[in-house]
Amino acid sequence: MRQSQNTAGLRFIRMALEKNAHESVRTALAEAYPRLWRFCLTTTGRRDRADDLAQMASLRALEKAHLFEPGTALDRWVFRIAQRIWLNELRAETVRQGGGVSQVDDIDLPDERASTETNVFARQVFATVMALPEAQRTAVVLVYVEGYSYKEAAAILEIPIGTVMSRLAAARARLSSPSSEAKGARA
Amino acid sequence: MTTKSPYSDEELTAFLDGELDDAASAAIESRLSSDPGLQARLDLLAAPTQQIREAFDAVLPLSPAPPPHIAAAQPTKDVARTTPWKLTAVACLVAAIAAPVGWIVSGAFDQRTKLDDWRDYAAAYHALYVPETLSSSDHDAAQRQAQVDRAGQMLRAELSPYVEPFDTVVFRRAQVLGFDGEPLIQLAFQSASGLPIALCIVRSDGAPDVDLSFEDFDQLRTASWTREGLSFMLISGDAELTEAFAKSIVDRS
Repeated sequence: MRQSQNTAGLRFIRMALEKNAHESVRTALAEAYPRLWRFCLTTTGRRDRADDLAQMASLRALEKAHLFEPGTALDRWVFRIAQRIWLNELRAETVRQGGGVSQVDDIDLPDERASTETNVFARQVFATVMALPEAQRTAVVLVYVEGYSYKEAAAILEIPIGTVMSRLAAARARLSSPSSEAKGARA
Repeated sequence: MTTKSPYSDEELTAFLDGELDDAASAAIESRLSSDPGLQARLDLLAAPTQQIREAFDAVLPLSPAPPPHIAAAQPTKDVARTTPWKLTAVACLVAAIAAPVGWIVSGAFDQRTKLDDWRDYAAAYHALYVPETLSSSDHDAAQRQAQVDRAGQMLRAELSPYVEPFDTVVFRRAQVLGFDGEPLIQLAFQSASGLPIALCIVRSDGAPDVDLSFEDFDQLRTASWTREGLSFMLISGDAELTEAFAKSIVDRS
């Protein structure tokens, strides 16, 4: 009797933890969703594909909520899920459908600050980063926009830290002042 | 100084990003004063990271609202753009076409699984009870009646008929618990031998009446029924007592 009570008690704790995991993952996903979508936009280079990938990644994360370790960063976990789905399931199909992987022309930055020079510059910066090769722009966004360390970015992309460094170095060389456009013209 | 820099672009990038350790960073900084070529190379790697961050932050408002499977139970201001019925409909559609996702879906699926869920939780909670759990509960009759009244208010039901003694079983206390935001009332009893018995009740408005049925939860015996918008589960470690007590309660209501 006492043994069975203990078993039942453990079952209770497990059920509570599983339910709690689902709820906390769902809540955190809702909060992180715009950033997940932005990461997907960076990765896919296309707004329609970003919509699809962010939805797929968040659904996959919920299915795997029991695997999520509470106390670790959910955003990094779901970014990694998105990266895997992109590489394993969507990327080849997107390329096959033509038009290249990157199509950022349909992305308009919000025009909140009227048409200031700052805003124009922001558009240029955005377009320049999005014109980088996929591997470079993904590293740029993870480290310079999301603020991840090299180690964290490497874990999300599942590549060595040295590869993150070389991608960032290549990206910096293309993005550096005085004018990356001039450099692009020379290239 | 025209000696070739010993640093690769990768190392200089790590320096600019603050990813080098202190000693390596200090070495580069001290070399800068004597190596103008090194400063020039750093300049060539000087990306406008602040502006990049600002430009990409400006993209965030373009994100679509979180899809229903995330947002349905956790409304955010973004979700308010979608009407509730639409959310529920889409959530059900997602549930129907997606792989099984347990209790993450909302709407009709929750309604279906909720009854099973609360009984599992309540039964598992009761499994932790030992005789001492209730023996140490020494409320007087007036306090117990106040507990019953308060629990009844929470449940919007008259609970007094359910706390009448049965055989050697006496009522010990009423607790207001909760499940998925709804009150779950636990009326705890104890037999003369000290055995804990619990009658758990939730509202189930709109659900049809369900006749008394029995089920085992590990070595605990449960009796369940639904009547007039209330769902009941009686549970104890004595199967015979559970069944007899449950029948007497059903006859009272």
